[in-house]
Amino acid sequence: MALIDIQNLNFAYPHSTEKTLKDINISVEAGEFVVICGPSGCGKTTLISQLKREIRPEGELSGRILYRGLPIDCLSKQEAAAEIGMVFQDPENQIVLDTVIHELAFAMENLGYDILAMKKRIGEMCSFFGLEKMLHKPVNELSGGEKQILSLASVLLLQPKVLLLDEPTSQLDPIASKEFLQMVHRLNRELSMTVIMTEHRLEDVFPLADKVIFMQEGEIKHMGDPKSVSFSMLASKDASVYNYLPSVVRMYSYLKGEIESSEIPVDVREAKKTICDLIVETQLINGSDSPRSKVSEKPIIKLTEVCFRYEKDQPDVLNRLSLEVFPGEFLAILGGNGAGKSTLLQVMAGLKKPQRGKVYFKGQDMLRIKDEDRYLQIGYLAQNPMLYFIHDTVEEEIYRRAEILKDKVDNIDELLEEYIDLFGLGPLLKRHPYDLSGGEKQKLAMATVLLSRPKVLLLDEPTKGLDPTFKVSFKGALDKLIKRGTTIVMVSHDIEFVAANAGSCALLFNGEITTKDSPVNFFSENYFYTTAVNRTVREKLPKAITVEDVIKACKRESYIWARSVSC
Amino acid sequence: MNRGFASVHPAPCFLYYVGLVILAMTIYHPLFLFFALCSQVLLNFMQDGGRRLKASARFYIFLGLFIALANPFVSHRGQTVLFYFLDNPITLEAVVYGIAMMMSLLTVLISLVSYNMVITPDKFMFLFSSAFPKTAFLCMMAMRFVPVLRRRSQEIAVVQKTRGTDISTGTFMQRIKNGMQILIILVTWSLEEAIITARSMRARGYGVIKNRSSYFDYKMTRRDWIVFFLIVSSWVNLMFLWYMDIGHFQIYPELTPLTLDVNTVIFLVASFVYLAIPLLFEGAEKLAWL
Repeated sequence: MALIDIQNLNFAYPHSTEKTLKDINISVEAGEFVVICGPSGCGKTTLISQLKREIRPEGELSGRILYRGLPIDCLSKQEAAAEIGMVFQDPENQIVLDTVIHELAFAMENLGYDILAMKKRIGEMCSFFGLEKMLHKPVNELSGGEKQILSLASVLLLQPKVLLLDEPTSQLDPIASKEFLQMVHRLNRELSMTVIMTEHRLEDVFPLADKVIFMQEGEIKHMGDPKSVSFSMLASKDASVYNYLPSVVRMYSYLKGEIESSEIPVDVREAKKTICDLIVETQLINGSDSPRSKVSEKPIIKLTEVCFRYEKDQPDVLNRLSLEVFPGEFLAILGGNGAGKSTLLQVMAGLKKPQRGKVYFKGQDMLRIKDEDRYLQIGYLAQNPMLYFIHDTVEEEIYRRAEILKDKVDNIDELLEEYIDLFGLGPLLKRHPYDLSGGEKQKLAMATVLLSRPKVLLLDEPTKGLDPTFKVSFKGALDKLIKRGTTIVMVSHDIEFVAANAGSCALLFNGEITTKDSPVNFFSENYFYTTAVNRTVREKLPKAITVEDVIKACKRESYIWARSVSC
Repeated sequence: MNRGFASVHPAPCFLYYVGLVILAMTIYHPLFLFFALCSQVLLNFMQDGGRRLKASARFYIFLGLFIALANPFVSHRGQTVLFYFLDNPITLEAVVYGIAMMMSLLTVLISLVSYNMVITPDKFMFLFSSAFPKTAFLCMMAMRFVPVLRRRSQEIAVVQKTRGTDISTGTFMQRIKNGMQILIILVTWSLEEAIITARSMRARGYGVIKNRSSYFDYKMTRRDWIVFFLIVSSWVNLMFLWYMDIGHFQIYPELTPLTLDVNTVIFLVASFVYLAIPLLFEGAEKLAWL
């Protein structure tokens, strides 16, 4: 008997004619690792919330959800809370109390556990997760990854049978997200805990999953083990589906004409075996050594020996940092968590004044330029687009901004229409900015920033939490801006996106820029900090960092098609 | 950090500080107040080497001197006139009373510094969560949100600065207007995020049963009971002596001379017992590491 059995589930939100979930049938065995993926808005979060009674959304529901053979509503309140645990997407807001130990005890206190039982479980859990050292720390001193681990531990203290994870790694950097997934994997393998997880970055979860479910528009489109799902997703010949597959799978499919389900690689290790044999006819690419975009001579932004720290007694965040950004360049700055990437961006925007060193904009001292002019010429997009919204509708947000800028920017009405078109905001105009999806919010904020026709656009982690479909359209928008001559600087953790799109890459480490190079040189020399594709084919094609590069090297006809769909 | 006096159960510790504050405010005996003040300064030095005390020492000295000096100029009660200042009599009694007031106030303030080291927020929560569980829970949630909201408002301020909404420039009215705008964003955004917090609380069974249990539990061991008994008995003893006028010291209307008679000695010994309790624990801690 399956642990969870979802039968003919249909669901519609109130006042909505469209069903969010359509005829869902899933059965999950005890100890299975299930990954539900699909574009944002496909209903995966709604589906996973149906399994957690306490947070189930209001709406019209038909069909049955059986848990251990009984309807899930038959569980007592205590059982429902304890046996089905859930970790949410946002590390910041799902934490309730002030210190780690309070937060850990929170769930058990809610169910009235006695002190001895609590002490025993917390003791055990802390050694499993290595939390002893931070037990009495205030929660706000933890990093995002640590917060997510804390939330997981707090839920696990109730000893759940099923663990529901709603995009748990989408707000984390790659290292922290790998660490989190390893922890979940361990729970699944060592304690045989059933895991159901939604995710749109399949790269890391694919090797861990027993069952992958691909959803689109509220329906299950593909379901099965990773290999067979890859097979059916590849067989669908649908470009929008393609982008969800891990790059090794995509690479395999381009290189191999006839796809065999059993041969499909799910991780780098398997890919090395299958793919390396396929690369026969190679033409070593040493090609794009020079940065991809044209670079003229005078830098538009120049930092010389910049030092910055937040408080007198704190260590330097930026330490004698020098950097030149040229007009028309698309520069990506990478670096670990807390390396000071966001700080660097704010210094470049003239929002923070460095203690030492100078920042020049078009050869002029940044701090001598009038505030107003500076902010018009340098667009800055913070990580959280919510910070920009002050009005009730998307329309107002854009038009009011345009009204303010009317006297300073020429032809703003034309620009306005163009951006609404470029960022696909047309259908959203009457909506409240807070009701948009993460990607849509990002685009709206960007449109309002771009209305002043900035020469430079500074982006702070613009692809965080975006699904592959959105990334493609986001990339399209960036391309148009670059063509128009806008200089773009972005800081990011998203190695795959940067490798495929950036004109040049820089690494921020120890407060300074240690290297700045073309993406090919930048990534191909790294061992760990590089794309999955490069890790797979580095022996044969050391300079290949994207699927596109590999195919180019192999001179396959599918190249042209691959180029048009890969992001 | 649960060492020395802080290793004792929070209830007797809490009681000790409450008792001390009451004593320092009722017993206006210069010798008692002097020893009480000394004991608290010493306690602070034994607990963290006086680091926290030093941080605000300037303020305490200023406040103490201000009170000690202001009293004789404001109050003209007392028989023994020392001199006249602008036709107003400055009396010995008022001077002594001012000094006593200074010592009383400083004892209370300095004991609060040590109190904060001993009764951490955790222990405070423990003490009051049984009496006011909901309030205690709310306090813990609020404590989490103070730094979160502060960080959010800073983030908003930086971003809104690029839009010309700046609270550090412009006319007074303009600044208030801009500040309001930032506040509006902060509130809407925080309310939005609070929904997630609420979901997370429900998902972990908040509200499933009426009486939540509490992880924080300090058991009264035998040692704690002994300390508890010692604190209560020495406090009652001291108050009783004071009430019975043993070791009585009169300031107004006329200062009685300070003599070291039997009664005063009994009174001082009783005071030493009470004042020495935390020092003993800190001393034992130091001895263990010699």
